[in-house]
Amino acid sequence: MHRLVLLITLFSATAFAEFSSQGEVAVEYRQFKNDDVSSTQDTGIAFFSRLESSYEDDRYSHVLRGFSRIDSKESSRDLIWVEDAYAAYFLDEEKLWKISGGYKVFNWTALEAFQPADTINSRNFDAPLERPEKRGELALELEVPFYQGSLTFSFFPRVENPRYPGSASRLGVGFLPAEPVWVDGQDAKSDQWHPQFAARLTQLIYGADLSLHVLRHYDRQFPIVGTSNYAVVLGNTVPVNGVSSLNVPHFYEVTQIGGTLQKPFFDAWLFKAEAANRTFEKDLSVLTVTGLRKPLDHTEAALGLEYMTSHADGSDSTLFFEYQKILGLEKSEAERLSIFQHDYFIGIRHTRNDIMGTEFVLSAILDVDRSHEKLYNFQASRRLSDVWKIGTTVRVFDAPKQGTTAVGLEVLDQDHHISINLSRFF
Amino acid sequence: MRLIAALALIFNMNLVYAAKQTPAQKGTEIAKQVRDKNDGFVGEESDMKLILITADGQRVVREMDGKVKEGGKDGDKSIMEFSNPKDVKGTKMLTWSYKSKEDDQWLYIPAFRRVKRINSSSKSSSFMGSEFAFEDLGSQEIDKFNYKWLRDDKINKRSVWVLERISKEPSGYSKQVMFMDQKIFNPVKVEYYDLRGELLKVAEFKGYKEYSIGKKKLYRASEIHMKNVQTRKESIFSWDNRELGKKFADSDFSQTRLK
Repeated sequence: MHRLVLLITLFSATAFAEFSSQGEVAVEYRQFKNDDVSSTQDTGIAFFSRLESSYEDDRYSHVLRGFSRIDSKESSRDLIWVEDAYAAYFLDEEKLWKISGGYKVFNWTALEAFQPADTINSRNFDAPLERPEKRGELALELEVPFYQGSLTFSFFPRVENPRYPGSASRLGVGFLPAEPVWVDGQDAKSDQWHPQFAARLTQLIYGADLSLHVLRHYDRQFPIVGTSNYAVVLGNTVPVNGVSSLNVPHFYEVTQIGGTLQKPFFDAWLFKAEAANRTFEKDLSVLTVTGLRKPLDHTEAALGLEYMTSHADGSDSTLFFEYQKILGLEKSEAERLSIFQHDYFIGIRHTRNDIMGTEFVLSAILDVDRSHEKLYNFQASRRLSDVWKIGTTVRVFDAPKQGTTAVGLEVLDQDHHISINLSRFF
Repeated sequence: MRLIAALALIFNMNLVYAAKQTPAQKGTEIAKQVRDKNDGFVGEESDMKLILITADGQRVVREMDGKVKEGGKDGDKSIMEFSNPKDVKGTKMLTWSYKSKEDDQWLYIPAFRRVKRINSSSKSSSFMGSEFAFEDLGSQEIDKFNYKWLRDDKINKRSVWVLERISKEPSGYSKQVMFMDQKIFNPVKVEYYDLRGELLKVAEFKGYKEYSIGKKKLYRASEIHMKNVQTRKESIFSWDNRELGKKFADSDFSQTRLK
């Protein structure tokens, strides 16, 4: 009898269960405009792969996903990252209460180019701009129903290190930063176990998607690169371990309060807004090449509009406009904090809607205050079959240096490049 | 005797009323009958295939599966997950349709783990590069259209009502002419006219199957063959493993469940 019950239970579980898997392998080629610098790499050929496996039954589910890249010419681009490795379980029949635990990639953004609210995961800063690569963060979460949406409480016990472009990379700053340290009061530690917390509310109100969050975690976007090991000698602050030690990214604990709003209006318009206010714990000053620095409290706010129109030939076009500004800082401080401190983004995506899914994207990011800084992108992609796809990107950095030291986007001036991706999906 | 006279009077009044119905009233009444006959499916789950055929006969197959939860007073909620072509595998589209306002729609992009709000008003754009527009497949709530009965007719020896309907909301069509089967209360053909008033597309509904939900019998087409008469492109939407009467939780159709 027990055996019969067990068989029925197993059969029932199998009947509802669903395994799925998918993935991608790609050859990525990129060619930069020659900079006549022997220490940098103008050509890159990399092999990218991503694998995902998931399982879902009535209440339980789990997901495993990760990617790797091996670059034949620039070994600092090689990486294997776990994106998702978590299990989730619904606590009730209605599937409203959920707990989950494991490594997770989060996406809290509403906009396309500027994403101030989306800050949880560490990133690969040598990834294509249009395809951000995030590292899964260890998280334990409880999701509960709340009015017209849900409320999620998260606990993050550790931090993951971000990845910076290597010393040979044309998208880097000319040196490979050291392993990061995490500032805890007056100390800077490489220990990655630090408790962090978040609460996020998502609601659908009057046809608008609204999300609000409070996040107490370690910032991953605004490191202060320098050293905390310095001494004052004859009135001058000098690094104890020499100038070469000024390459350590210091990440500070921050309280971020922010949110997103998305609301369709009129016939084919979408309004989007996203903001984050950040207050740092800044007990420790870091010695940088420009002197002693502490993180700067600020608010990063962005607005966006999206308009879609269909054409008589069956194709359609989507127009994008986004504007971002860092508030609460002097102009010079904001410029030091971020490349996109006061910018707007304009773009058009044209989808031919043919059987091969041909698509073109033309876009530009233009700095309002530093009007000599411009970034142009052109992308085209097309399926070759149900499983093969080819895409190309042309990126132009037009930001000539104004002073003696390159600042903001000037660091990447003339790093124009073209990349071609050939992907096989399965 | 008085009772018989009264009943006769009422009967005659109904006949007079029926005879005096305007084409718009009659069209709306038929549309309501069609809606009532098709209500009560509770929930639906199916595997779908979309075949795209170019003007020179080249064919490509798209695959997806879908779930629909009947909405009662509100409109239906549906979720569609794409499985082929492989580069969009795992992409999901969630739609909350309403009887008298624009639908809410979200797209889940698995590569970025992102739920993106989309404007459901962009209804005239193509669905997955096919000859079907989003508005052909989305909510068909009768309050969103003005109906007019044109005539009674026959298609393949079956009696049909021929109805014209014009969207009250922005649409890619100036009008649609529907050929509605009088026995199964479902369309057998729909003609779509472009904004210049010229015939653009013709959809033929084939392979109707009968489903029993309690005492109610419902009919669903197994295939819709859409022909664009202007570009000569065609698309065939077909359904397999369709189950009606499925019970879903509301939370199966929430934005958080897309991830």
